[in-house]
Amino acid sequence: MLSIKSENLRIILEDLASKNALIAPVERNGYFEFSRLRKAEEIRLDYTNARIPPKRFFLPERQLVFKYDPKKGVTEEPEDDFKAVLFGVRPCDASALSVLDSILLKPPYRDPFYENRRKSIIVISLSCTKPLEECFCNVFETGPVRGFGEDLTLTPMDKIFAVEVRTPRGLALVEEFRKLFAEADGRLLEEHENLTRRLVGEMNNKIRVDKEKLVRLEKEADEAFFQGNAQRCIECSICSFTCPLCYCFESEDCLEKNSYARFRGWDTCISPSFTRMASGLDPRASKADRLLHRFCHKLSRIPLAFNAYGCIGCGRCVSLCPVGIDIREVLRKWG
Amino acid sequence: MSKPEEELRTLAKSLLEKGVVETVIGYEASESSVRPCFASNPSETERLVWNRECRLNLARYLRGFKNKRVGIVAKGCDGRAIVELIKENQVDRKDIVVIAVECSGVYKPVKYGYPSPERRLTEYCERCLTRVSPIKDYLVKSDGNVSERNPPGGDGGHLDWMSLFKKCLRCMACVKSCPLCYCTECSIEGFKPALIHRINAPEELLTFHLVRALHMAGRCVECGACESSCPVEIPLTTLYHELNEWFRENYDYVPGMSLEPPPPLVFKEGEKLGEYAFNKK
Repeated sequence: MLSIKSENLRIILEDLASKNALIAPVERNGYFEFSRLRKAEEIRLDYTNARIPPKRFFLPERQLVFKYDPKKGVTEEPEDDFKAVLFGVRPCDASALSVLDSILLKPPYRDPFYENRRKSIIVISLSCTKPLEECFCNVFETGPVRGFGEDLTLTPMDKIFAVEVRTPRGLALVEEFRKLFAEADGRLLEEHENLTRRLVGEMNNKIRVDKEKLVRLEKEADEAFFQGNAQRCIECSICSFTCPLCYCFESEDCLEKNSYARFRGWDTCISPSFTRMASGLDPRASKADRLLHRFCHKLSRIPLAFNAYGCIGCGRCVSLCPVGIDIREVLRKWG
Repeated sequence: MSKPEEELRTLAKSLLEKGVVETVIGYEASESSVRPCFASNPSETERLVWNRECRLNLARYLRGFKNKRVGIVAKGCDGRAIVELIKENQVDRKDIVVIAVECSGVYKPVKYGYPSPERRLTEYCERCLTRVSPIKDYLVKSDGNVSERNPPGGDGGHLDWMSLFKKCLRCMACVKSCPLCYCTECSIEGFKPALIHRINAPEELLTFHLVRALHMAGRCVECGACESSCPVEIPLTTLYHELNEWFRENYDYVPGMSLEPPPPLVFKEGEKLGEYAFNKK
């Protein structure tokens, strides 16, 4: 483990910002969000978590897939250079990236756009020292100190940051600024361990999950629970759009001057049009079906197929749902 | 349990026991706030709550109960929405039992990642026109604990609307939580031919929000359901309030305040469009 003084971290961040290569948390319009910065002083190191998860840099809301010109045929548009360091991601959100990796980068069907962005963005996570009330990352062990998708893990200690190098890419970044880092001494290691223990203990969520049990959710789900929530659900897309792990997309062809362009963008399985086919047939015709599908996908099908949970416990859907549909209830009942 | 809450539960229970209604739509406590509750069994009325977190406008659920007798817990603005729905022939007054609750305003929601130290009333509550629903079958009075309202803040003129719209994710929560957005074919969602693309493009957000704003003009009851659902906190009610003000000045019409007069942009068979509206001024 390494350590870095706050003022030295500033130097690195300022250097990155001056090269237009820094994406970091800032406060805008009354909440926190990630933004590409020109000046590092705007960064809010005391931020809680971003309202919109960092997935928007890896899976943008709208992305060009290809262009089609009647004369030239399909033209592939090279993705713009997106090189950046994404600084200050919470461990839960970083873990979401690792789960997305196992889904979207699994051969033979690799998502080239996601892969490209994943290659060009270095992720530095910042441990959560004040988890929010809605947080339940401890349930899936995706935080609060350490996640499993980041290149470097920074933990704020007293005036310094403990630095854990997680990938060769992270190491390369450290090497670039080697003089600013120091080896962690025994005392820091001990303090770090104590802090980890304290933070995990402080998480106010005492949910326990059992993977074997959750896998049976689809078969054992009781109808009353999902019917009740379906009656409430207003079919907006907040839960999917603000989920760091929801990756479903739809594509659309747009007519431009003399050519067509195909875009892809976020979609949500809660929408009635998600599974409705041209014939009118809809395998998930009712809201209850769709809600059950959403929870099953996250908690039993992704675990079965990719050996990781499709939820990382960030609490966004819990907090932002206008009608109080709560995934923690599902975990308590069927976990 | 507060006194109004107790009264509300007793009332809802007796309505269900006597078979006056099949369901009572109200609010129940959730782990972090409150959420809609649909009580169809008298014992379920024990779950009903009434407090300053009851932001969602329950009138948006009424159309799902067509031809069924349904009781609804209604704040002043919820009642105004019911009035507009009746005027626009979306629900039948005979089917609805309005349990009006005297409202002294709801709190601005605390949303993910930004815990605010003090709770305060929403801005739209400070512009409130009626604390009690204009139509009611029963009235649950508040326990006298009415907080002072501050004078309404400025209009939306000082806001940078373009940059506010740019934050929009097009999650459709504003549309879906609105009691008066009931079109089965929504012109800004999956409509063919498409007015705007399904996939969110920044240059189309202005169209999206202005189309919605124009459809709300002179109809919006300023209940703030859209604004409090919005994950990126766009102050939509302020925008719709501005348009309503224009309607009030030009057509002398305030939505949802009484079952008469008809809405200015509605016309009956045989009548010319806007006859009422143009005669007014």
